[in-house]
Amino acid sequence: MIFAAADFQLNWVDWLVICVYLAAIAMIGVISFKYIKGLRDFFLGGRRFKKIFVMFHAFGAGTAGQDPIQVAGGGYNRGFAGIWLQLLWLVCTPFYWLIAPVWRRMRYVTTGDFFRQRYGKSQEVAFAVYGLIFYSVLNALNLLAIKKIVIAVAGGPTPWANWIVVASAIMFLVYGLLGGLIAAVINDLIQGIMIILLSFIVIPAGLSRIGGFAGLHAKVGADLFDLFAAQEFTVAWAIFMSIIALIGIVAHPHMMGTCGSAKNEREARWGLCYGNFLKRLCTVGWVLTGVIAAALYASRPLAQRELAFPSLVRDLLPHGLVGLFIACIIAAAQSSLSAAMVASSGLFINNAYRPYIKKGASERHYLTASRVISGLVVLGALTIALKSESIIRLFKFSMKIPPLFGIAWWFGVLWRKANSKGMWASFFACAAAMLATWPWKEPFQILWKGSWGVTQFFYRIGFVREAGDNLYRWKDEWHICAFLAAGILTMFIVSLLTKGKSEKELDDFYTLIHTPVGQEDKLKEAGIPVVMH
Amino acid sequence: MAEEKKKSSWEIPPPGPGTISGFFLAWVFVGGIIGLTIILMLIGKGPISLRVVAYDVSVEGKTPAEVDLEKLALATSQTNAMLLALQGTSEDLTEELSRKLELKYFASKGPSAILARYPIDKVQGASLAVTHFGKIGRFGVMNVDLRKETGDAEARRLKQAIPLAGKEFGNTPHAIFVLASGEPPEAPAGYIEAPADNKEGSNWHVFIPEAIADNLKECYVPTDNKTIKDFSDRLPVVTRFVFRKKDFQ
Repeated sequence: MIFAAADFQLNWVDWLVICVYLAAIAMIGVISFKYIKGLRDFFLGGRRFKKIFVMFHAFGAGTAGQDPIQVAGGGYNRGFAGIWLQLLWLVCTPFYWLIAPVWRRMRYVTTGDFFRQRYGKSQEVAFAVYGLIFYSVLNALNLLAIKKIVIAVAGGPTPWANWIVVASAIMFLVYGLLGGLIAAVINDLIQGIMIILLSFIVIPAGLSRIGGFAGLHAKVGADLFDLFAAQEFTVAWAIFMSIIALIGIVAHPHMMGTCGSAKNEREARWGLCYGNFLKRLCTVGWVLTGVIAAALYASRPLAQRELAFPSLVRDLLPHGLVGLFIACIIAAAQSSLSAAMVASSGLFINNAYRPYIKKGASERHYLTASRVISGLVVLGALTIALKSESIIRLFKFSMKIPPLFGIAWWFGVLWRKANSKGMWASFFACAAAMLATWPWKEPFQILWKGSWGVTQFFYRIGFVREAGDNLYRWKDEWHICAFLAAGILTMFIVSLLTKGKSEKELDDFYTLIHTPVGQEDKLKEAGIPVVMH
Repeated sequence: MAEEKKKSSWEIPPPGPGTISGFFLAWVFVGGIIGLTIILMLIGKGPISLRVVAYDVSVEGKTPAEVDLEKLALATSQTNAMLLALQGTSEDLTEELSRKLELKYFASKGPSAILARYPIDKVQGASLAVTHFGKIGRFGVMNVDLRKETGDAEARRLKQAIPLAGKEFGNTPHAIFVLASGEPPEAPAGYIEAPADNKEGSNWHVFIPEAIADNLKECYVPTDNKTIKDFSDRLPVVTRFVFRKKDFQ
């Protein structure tokens, strides 16, 4: 290849490792294809996975290629405080122990099923459409991580970066289409082990280069060793992001697949909770890697903070391991993307296409349709990835969408009075508040600093100016506050004032989530429909 | 008649076996991960070290849109830059950059300005800035532009700046960054010029008190414009210093 030697600092050993590794992963997809007999296998792996597989599936589906890149970038830029880019999920993790059985007990194929049963058909379709958009954004993050690695390995921007992203997207698509969730779960097990290894592999080499931990302290500023930064990853930011993470996680469509693939609720909660703790542990390694990069590149800053991890790998690891790192990040992106593709296509087919667009077709038809939808999701992701530059910015954006449905999920599970009208009112209020406050950075500046006499007058007053500046500095936090408050309050008030589903329908729903897995006979006796157990 | 029990509208799924103990165990793991992070932050921590980075940027004739703010912001935050000296700026542009770069403390005079992350206690024109660091006490930095001055005027101004800083802050500057054209300026009494890496070809000079010279860990001065060009095409950083200080307050 023309670019192999000239543009990229890889040698033949790296290329060999990349090819062998990716070929092995592709084989898993091909082999898994034989086991896909129907939608249940494709979307939920036949509900046959035990805790180790669920754990690594949760780890793999939750650990995308961009995660090490963005956390190390945050560490490089803001020190240990950068860990909050992923540790914002830490507070959520114990709650997985509580909600995993709820997901499993629902016995649904997708979260869209939940919205239909609890609220209505319009919410079901809306969630299916949201799933396609959400996963396009999430998959774009994965593709963007690959772009960053290519730029780092090439030693700077290269026209090859976009082409490699396109090629990766095609490869992921083929892989996901073949193997469905079975391939994704097996792949996650392998990727999980490799990511754990790679999360720490660069640390000894980096520390030895800079003179150990003492050298690290000597080479970077003391504020890089604070748990919270003075800007960007502040205490308030970490708290507010943790709140939207907890509210929003239930609206991540793949969570139903992750828990639903477990054999029973015990396997689901162990797998989900500790698979994610495994990821949190790796996050510590990623941020330390970023701080090491800050020390190592102190005198020659990197052009982008997200190049920190791949640049360290390129400069510190021997050939072969560099190739392995690249292959692992690509494969991690691949496994996340595959899981996301399966989740989003499953969602759209089961909750929009089959019930409302093409009723009564064969299983084979729906399987083909789900593969077409998967292709559209990857195409959307590719478009976003090619137009985006910053992983961290896109990540922050992706964190703010799920609460639109997450609020309704929580209310729906915990409060009988939550109803369809409340859900829609909450959705629109939350979306309106989000849009109204999202771009407030610029309007605020214009208003604050503009030529209007009143604002100019107040701007000149010291403490007012200070307060305004703080308001501006905490723009993310206020923004989150505004849309969450709008969504939660509207849901509560409108549901309280309007009538929802009949008592019988509500009883059926709550009996379902109160009945442990394995006691489906009781549900049948009570005449409660079980979507898929 | 049996009184019908009123149904609560709140529905908490009943806990299965191990729900409560497992939930608390999970919180122990949360504490463990935060604890591990803190331990890693503390390992090898010795006397406080501080790095001061000063950027001198020419923005003459530019609008904020023409300055590559993203790269400038990255440079200032990643390197923990304390000072950003602007040349050829205007009041509006300084305010705009201060806000966008989140270097909220600034002082300006005419076409020169200094932006800093920490409060600027006093500014003499735009050539003297002393920054205050709450965590480690006062740390004085002076940024002096002597390019248009020659001979006695140059030496006199540098000498005057030091007692002025001492008088105003009860502290002598710990680092004096001097931009001078032609011959290097003479070191003020009690100061020595820091041995900078790649000093040759640069118009910048760093003076540090003789008494703490051993605490200087690194002094980096880019010597050619290529380094700057690599950093950014549109960001006219003309020099960059890294100065480290250990265990002195």
